[in-house]
Amino acid sequence: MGSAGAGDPARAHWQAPRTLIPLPNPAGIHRPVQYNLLLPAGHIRTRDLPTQHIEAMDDGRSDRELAEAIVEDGDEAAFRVLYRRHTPRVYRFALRLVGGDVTEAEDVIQEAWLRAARSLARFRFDAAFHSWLCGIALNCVREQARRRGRSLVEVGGDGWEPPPSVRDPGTIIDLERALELLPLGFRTVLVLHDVEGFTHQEIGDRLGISDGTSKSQLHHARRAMRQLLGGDMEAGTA
Amino acid sequence: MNTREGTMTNDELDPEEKAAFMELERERTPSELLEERVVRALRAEGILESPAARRRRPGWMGAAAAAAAVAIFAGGAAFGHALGSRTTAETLLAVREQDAAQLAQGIQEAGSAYVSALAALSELRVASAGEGGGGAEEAAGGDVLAQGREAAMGSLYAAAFELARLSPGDADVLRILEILAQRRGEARGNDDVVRNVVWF
Repeated sequence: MGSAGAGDPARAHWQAPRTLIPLPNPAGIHRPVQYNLLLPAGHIRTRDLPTQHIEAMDDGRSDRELAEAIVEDGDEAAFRVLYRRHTPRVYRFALRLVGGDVTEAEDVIQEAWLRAARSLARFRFDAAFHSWLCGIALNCVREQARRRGRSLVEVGGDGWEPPPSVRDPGTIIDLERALELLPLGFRTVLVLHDVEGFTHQEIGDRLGISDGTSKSQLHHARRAMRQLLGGDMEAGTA
Repeated sequence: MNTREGTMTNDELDPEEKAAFMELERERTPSELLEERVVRALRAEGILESPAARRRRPGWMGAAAAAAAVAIFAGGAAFGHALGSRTTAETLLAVREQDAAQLAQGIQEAGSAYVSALAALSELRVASAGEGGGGAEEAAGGDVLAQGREAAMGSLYAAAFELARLSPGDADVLRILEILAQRRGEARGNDDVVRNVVWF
């Protein structure tokens, strides 16, 4: 291949083009952009990223003003501002709920934004936008769990044992890792109550369970958490 | 642990535990690609267009828009065909007079143009399929799209070939070239009919 030239076998396959065709040429192609020609079909190309405007986009408009621009004009720039303003928090919330699975968390975020955007015209801003979005993300997690046959309520909480990988006395894990290792039902209630500050009534409303069930789940969740941490509860940095 | 069990009985977090929860990370920025995924999905649903305009637009306007898009594309193709040789010759001449930095820049711009054109072609295909209706316009559009696809594959192959010359020791490039060469061979089949390969 190093001596490739007119006699090269590879070139013999290549047929000289005969006709010319100008393909559509979207605006902006003359400024340097990143792209990857060999990504699989359907993959997002990084060339599409609005790299020059990412930091400068937030113009200080309120969430309501941005929402109005999206609803009334389909304003993509407004949506991107809203997205960048709220996604980091909701993403962290979702990532924690799904036990640190990035792919699953991203699916949740995409679905949450789709639902939020569809319902944006009906949102009255009586509550904080991020709380509303977190609620939608939580619903997405619930539905995803249901589709996979997983329950948000753990039964037989007293019988739960830490996985073998962390039973070794020498194993030390941090709080974030312990949250990931908890069963889904325990994790959900613990995250909602102890991390996000929801009341049992709010948890019950959002998960479709009674206050008592929420309390019971939290009780078991905290015990499981302490088992995992082996008596030391330190914040994770993961 | 025993003290924690006692705390557990009261079902309260002690100050140390509360502090540990408070210190947990509250925000994390996901991949930028996720934003693009979301935006594309919203575009596909029409949410990031003007919804008011979409609601007012009757069904026949969608079909007309698709037909117009195909017609414009086909018209552009014909026009480009007429002017193509001259512009390519000029382009090639200009390329040969550039230094390495300019060439690198040119590769980036040409690559962007290539991918942008493919993306536009892909959107055109989706629009044509979505608005539907069938008929001669759709058939003509299909021909143009097939031509564009063939041009894209030819370009990809030629680019891989030149890349292999540039980096003869790069096994990945050689593998890509082999795959594309094999694919071209399969596409040709056993006949020796000259195919209508296009170039830009």
